[in-house]
Amino acid sequence: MQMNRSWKAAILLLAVSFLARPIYCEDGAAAQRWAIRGGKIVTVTKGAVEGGVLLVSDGRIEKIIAAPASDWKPPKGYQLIDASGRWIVPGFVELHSHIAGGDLNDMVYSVNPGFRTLDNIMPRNALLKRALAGGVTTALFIPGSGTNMGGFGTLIKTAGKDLSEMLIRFPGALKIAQGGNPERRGGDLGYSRVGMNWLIRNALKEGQLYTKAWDAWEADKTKKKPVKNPRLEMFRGLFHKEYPVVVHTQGYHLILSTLRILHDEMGLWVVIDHGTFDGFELAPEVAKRGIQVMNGPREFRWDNRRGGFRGLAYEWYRGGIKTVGVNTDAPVVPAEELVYQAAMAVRLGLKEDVALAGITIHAARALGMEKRIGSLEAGKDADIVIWTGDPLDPRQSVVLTMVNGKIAYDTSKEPQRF
Amino acid sequence: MRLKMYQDQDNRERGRARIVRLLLPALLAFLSPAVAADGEVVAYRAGKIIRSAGEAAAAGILIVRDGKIEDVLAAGAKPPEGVKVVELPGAVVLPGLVNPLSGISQVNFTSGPGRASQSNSSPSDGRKAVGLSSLNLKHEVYRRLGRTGYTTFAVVPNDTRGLIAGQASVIRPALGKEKEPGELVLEKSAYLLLGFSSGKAWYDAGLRYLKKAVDDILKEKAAKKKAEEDARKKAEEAKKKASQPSTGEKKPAPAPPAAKPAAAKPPAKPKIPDPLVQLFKGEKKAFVRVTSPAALAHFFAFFDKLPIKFQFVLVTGPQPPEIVEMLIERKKQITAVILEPRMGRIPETSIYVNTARLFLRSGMPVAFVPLRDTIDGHREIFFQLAAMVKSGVLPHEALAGVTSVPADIVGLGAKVGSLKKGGLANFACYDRDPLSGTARLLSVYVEGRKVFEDDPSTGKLSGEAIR
Amino acid sequence: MTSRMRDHRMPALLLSLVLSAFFCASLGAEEAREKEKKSVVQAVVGATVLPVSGPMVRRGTVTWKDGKILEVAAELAAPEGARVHDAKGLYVCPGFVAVVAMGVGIETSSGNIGNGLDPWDRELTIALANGITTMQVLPAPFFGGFGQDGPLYGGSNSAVIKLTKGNLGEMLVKEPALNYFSLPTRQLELNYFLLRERFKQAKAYLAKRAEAREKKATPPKLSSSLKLYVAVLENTRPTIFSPVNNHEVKIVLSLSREYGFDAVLNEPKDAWMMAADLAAANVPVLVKSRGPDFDFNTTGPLFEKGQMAPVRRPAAFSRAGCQVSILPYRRGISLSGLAGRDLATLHVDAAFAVRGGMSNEDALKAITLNPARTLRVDDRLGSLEKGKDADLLILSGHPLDYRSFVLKAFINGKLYYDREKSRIYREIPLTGDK
Repeated sequence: MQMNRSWKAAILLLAVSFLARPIYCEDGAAAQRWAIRGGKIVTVTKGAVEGGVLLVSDGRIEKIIAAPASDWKPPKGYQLIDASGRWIVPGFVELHSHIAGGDLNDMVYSVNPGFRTLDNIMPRNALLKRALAGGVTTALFIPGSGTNMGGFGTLIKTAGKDLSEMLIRFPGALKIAQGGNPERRGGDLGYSRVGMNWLIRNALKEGQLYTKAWDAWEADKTKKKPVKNPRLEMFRGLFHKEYPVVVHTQGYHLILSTLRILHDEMGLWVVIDHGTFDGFELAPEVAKRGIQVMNGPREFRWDNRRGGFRGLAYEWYRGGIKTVGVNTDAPVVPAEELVYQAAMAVRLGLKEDVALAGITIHAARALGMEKRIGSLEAGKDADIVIWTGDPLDPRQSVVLTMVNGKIAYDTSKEPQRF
Repeated sequence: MRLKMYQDQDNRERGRARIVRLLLPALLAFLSPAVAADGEVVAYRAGKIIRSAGEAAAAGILIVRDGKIEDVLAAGAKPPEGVKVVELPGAVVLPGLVNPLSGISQVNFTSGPGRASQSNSSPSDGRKAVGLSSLNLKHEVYRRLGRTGYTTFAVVPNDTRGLIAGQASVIRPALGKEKEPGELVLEKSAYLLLGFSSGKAWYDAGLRYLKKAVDDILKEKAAKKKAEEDARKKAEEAKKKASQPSTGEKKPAPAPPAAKPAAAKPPAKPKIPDPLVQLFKGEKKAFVRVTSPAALAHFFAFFDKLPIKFQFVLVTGPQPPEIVEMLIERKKQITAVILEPRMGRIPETSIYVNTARLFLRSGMPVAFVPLRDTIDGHREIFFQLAAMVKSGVLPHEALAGVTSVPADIVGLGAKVGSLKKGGLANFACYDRDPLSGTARLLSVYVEGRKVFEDDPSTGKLSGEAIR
Repeated sequence: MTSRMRDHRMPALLLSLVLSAFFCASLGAEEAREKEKKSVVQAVVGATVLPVSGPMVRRGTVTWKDGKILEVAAELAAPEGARVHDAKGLYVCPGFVAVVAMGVGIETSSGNIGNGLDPWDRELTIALANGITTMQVLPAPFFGGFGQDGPLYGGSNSAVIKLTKGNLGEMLVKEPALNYFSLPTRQLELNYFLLRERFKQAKAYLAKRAEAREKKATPPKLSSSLKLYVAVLENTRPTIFSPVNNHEVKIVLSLSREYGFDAVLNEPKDAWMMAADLAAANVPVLVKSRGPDFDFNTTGPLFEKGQMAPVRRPAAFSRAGCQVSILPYRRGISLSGLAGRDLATLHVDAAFAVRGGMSNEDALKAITLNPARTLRVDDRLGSLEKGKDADLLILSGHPLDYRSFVLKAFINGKLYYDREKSRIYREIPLTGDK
């Protein structure tokens, strides 16, 4: 009886998946022109479009036709992807990822501004493939938090045949860890927070002086050419706010020093990339400075004083960070579960649209990439994910992931990865 | 700058102290009402006397004879002729404090009774152990007991963590002349202390010990009943026999022969009664220590199954309101509660609740024991009580919690815990309301003898000097 | 509150407020419980009822009395005098059943579990607040075993408990609930050989005992080391194995067939390949719906060749006709801050199974009726049927919706959790129903 029913269910499921499977030309890679039709296009920035058409060409979103005619046919050269009944969502942006290649904690020195993750990247590694199945198309691959300054991270797409295709920007951001993990070492300098703060301030001051010296030289304000120092070279972009510093900072007192040292004193472009525990108590101060918070991987706090759960992203939002996003700290939480982190933020109080924007457009803006990624708009990178339904609902899964207009994951060709 | 000022003051005081030290022997000889001669009557005229917790404090004169309180007179009254008058100007006189459950007789006993971790110890049977047996007069702790303001201690024997921890003996501080520990004892076996924790071992042991005691009693009862029945039958038969031949005769008093068979059973030797059996018979007091909420739930689940119940004093940690509520429902079984003066916590939160207050509001008597079962711990009791008062315990309740209530629950309410006529002259003098938090303990008297004096001119704690 | 009141009296005032609020709440609960004792009929009306054993009932009513369900029907008016819980627009389903849990509702796990239960445990309240009304708990060594070189380890000290907060009397449902074996991974063959030898001895013993019984002689003595194996063969309760590969699964299947006991497979990694065999052998499986986390092997292949993504495994078993119970992502309640990764989101773990292809109905069954069957308590628990225990939840949305919260949880017909009165989710607003 039970067997019978489950067989029926299986047949039904097969039938449904056959009918609804995306249809496109095998030779899609060459064409690189797609017309994704039907479904609900969640642009994130400009609302949702039901039953529209999304045109992709040359790796970019060409345009969105909100109300195509009933006999609309894809223009010549465009392969049709039928996404009726699906949700079409921009690829998610992960701001705290360690999974594009290992070996991220070199813990001999406490500050390592010369380190970079760029050379560690392994394109198409297993965990990135799983991230694609969770709809993650962009990741900031940063050093670990074993030391106070882990080095410079790399901003990549999660798919691509090699690094050149994956790379969005290097340096993506500087990684600073202000407390917690770097405290694990015993006895040497930086063992406590006074030492750590000195180390961070000292290194940044050095970088600031170096930057100023070069700025003066380049502006012809000095006749003495500064000596090139490869260790400090990447600080120049940092102090010119070409890329942010993503800070492993959590709890009230650590975030206080983040604000004081990194933002107020050094004038850096700061992104708070953990922000957990009671850090949200500082939300108004953080909001005042326009600093983005990507909360995670911890999404709740057990509040002893009140004897209950507090949703951290929700509390940041309530405190004034209207653009709050979440992260996974992958592999602490698997990379593919980024949207599940957002779902948990929703369960714990955040509004759904806020949660979705937090891992798309707001995350992109935190990296200064809002013009390229983070939403479905004409001219942006074609990082498009087709879901069976609302991506926040764990019952829905990815059907197809497209990165830079190329199909990177497709459940009609291979078994579901996540 | 400020520091220097203090140093100067310090030096001045030190100088003064030197002078005093030189004069000390003379001073002692002059002052010493410390050792009152037998039969001597002493009148203590004090600024305030609190005869018993809850009574209004008033200036008065305490008349002590033979270590007992003969009378308490109003301040204006004239002390009897020829009586030695000791002036305690401005002093607040309290009944000596009573600790109903202490392990202070053991040198290494540091954790408070309500906090003792039970989970790691095995449920042992110490029913025969008596607190008295663990006393070692050679240790100075007994002489130092008096410098705490406490004058009565119910001490439990060595293994205080077993399921049957043993019997508590009530002692007073040593005066320094005792030869035998027994001289300190007011009551050799005041109560039996039981402890209970959750876990299989405790359950099994509980079944083994308590159930057995109950079974023994039931058996005894059944045997007695049977004996009575037999006697009654015999008597009836005898009556029948007697009534058959001659109906007109007077009854030949059937009671004595009926009582005889029971009494006739010759007790081979004077049997020492099993304290556990005594407990169930209501002949012995019981203190039951259960700390965690889970252990309480298990204890009562077990207790409810016993066919015979006993009343007991519950020794427990600070509990959240829901547990207190559950305990208050059991007023029939729980006669009083012993707590440490600290706050309980509502589970899942760090919202603190004054457990003692909850018990007191429901009419349950509460006795307080110090947080640390050491000399210093006892000296600090009023700091903690002051905190309790701050969060809702009334001052007289706090005072009663260290005087009359513990005295009553160890069964010595007539002797200690208040300044009653005929009671022991155990009292402590403070320089102001002890609950003010800044009060200084001036002197302590045990049975009319001064065991401690804090000499304000020297700052020296002279507890050991004056015996 | 005016600023004038912000003086030193504030703490005391606050405390008294908190206290009085607490008392009101708890007295209310007490009163309610008192009422329930007097066998009043209670009814939930107007809800979308998911009885699990049958189809969904819209605008349904569930009535119960004395802790047992009376009726589940659509548009049924609550009987006269019944205490009615209006659940219009809400969902009602049986309480969730968690298998192989630990660390919840237990103060000490030495010896048997029933004597170490803690009805006041914080984690218990949190699990209950997330819909778990029944739980099967095992002692810690089951999970760690003794490492790869350790001895063959097994036992029976496990229990099925209900999360009746503050009520020790109704917590224990069944103990021992099952037998379990934890096999060291090294020298696996040897260990299974030993296992088989033991079963042989146990079988011989049972034969002897039966013989003795027939002759009405005293039964032979049972050595303590053989007790567990005899218990397995007596099959009064199921036996859990945790096979690491399919070879082991085969051994377990053959042992179970040969000695006629009911085996349960705990997290059989690749056993979906032989799901049909398991279904035919009627062997229930306990599976997770999500993969292992914290895997720093960032360079390995996606899955081992021929492996299936964890999210698809429950559906694979279910399709083959296996009795699937979904394991929580973690065994207990964790307050470390990682959301949705412990017992508090068992329903979301079921939702992940739906992602992998299971139907909503089967997924819900996999956290209610199936585990109840596996634990052999389905005569009382696991679905909303007449005569079963009134263990039910009123939820703000579909039980598998990640946003749904339990609003009320009843166990044995009594209210043990009320979201409005509990502190646990007071700071979290309810999000809208989809």
